[in-house]
Amino acid sequence: MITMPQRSPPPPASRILDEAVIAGLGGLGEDLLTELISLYFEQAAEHLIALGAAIGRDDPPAVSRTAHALRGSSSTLGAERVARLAGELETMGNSGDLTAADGALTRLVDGINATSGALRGRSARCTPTP
Amino acid sequence: MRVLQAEDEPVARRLTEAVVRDLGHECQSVVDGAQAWEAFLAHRPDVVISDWMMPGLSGLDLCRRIRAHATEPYAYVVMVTRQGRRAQVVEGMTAGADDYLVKPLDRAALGARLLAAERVTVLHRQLSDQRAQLEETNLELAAMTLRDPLTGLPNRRALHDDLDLLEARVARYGQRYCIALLDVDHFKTYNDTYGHQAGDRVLQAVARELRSQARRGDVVYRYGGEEFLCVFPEQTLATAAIAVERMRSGVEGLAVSHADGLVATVRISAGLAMFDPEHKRPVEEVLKDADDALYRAKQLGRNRVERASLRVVSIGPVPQTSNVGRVAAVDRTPWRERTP
Repeated sequence: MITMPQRSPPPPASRILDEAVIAGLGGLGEDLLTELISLYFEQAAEHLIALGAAIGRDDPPAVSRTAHALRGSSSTLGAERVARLAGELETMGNSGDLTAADGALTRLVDGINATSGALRGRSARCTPTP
Repeated sequence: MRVLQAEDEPVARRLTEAVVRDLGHECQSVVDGAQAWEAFLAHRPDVVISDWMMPGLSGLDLCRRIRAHATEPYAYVVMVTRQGRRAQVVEGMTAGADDYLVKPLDRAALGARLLAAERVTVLHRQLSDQRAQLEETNLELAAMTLRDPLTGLPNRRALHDDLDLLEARVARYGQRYCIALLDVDHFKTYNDTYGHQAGDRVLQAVARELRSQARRGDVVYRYGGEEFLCVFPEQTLATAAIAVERMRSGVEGLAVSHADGLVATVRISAGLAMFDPEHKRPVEEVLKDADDALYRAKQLGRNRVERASLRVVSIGPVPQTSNVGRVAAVDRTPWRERTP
């Protein structure tokens, strides 16, 4: 008898958010989670601006450094997609070749927007409607 | 516990702070290694949680610095690394870290680390308390071993240490000392007649008298049994002889009363020798000279002071007021081999 190979689950990196991480953070209180999220987006906005500038002046070390920081805070918050996309830019920065960086930055911006949407959706689900 | 956190990434920093406080600990947060080092010195936290990668002073350097500082109380250091950096973990632990955490931060993992930290810091604190107690006890014990419990005088062991010092001072600074050996006359008979407790009281009375007659800087030791030794710094044989004579006559004036109401007279004999830079020789020889002089004092009828005459060049004028200074032929047989 021939069995079909099991379909492997989608790679976790394709997820926008790691819900388990968010749920764990939520355990410390919604107030703290809200604070962390707004802190995260404040940082992310600064990082995006810094990345754009670093790519514009062809400064791979700065790209790598900034992308690394963004990847870090994204992991902390379970923002998997942004972490992965920032990781791509970090790798480019490390390699010194920024030719594909513009495209990566665009995807990163999209990723951050998607994360923002997902977090809003989550908080809408969590917040009881009056 | 007081926790110091060094983390340059704001979201992780805020999160760690929240978790640490939620677990019931104090948390101070700084943004780089240099600030962490300053805060460490200023506040002496129990736990340091440090990110590996920080601008300026890295987490690894911070950890090395903390360990090189080697302070009490012990600081428990937790290094924070990214996932998949096993080599960093080993490097961090080698540098003196106690534990590590992997980013992104997990609340349970941090909680577990803090539990371990609490256990270890409590143990370290107990150890350091015990060490401090031990040191204190050792000091007390050391002081006890240097003092004669009966008379309260420094004992022969203390003398041994002090004589090394004297020898060095004579050799290096050209200082001069006189050493007197003093022995209670007929002490054995006294002991046999009145009992050991009465004998002990006599020794205590003699010790008190010797000490009260000694001037500042003179040191009286209980040399053993009924023997005392006195060191006179910066004295000639002549001037020291006056001091010893004062001691002898002081003891003679003592009235030691007994249970039966009788009052006994106590007397001592003394031998005096000089230890000076002009005659470099081991201190044992000086002690031998004093011992020989004491033997002479015993032979010449006791209750007197004799000075060593051998190898001494400058003897001051001999006071005529007492039996001080009479020098007989020197018998070089060691004192211990003779009967007093």
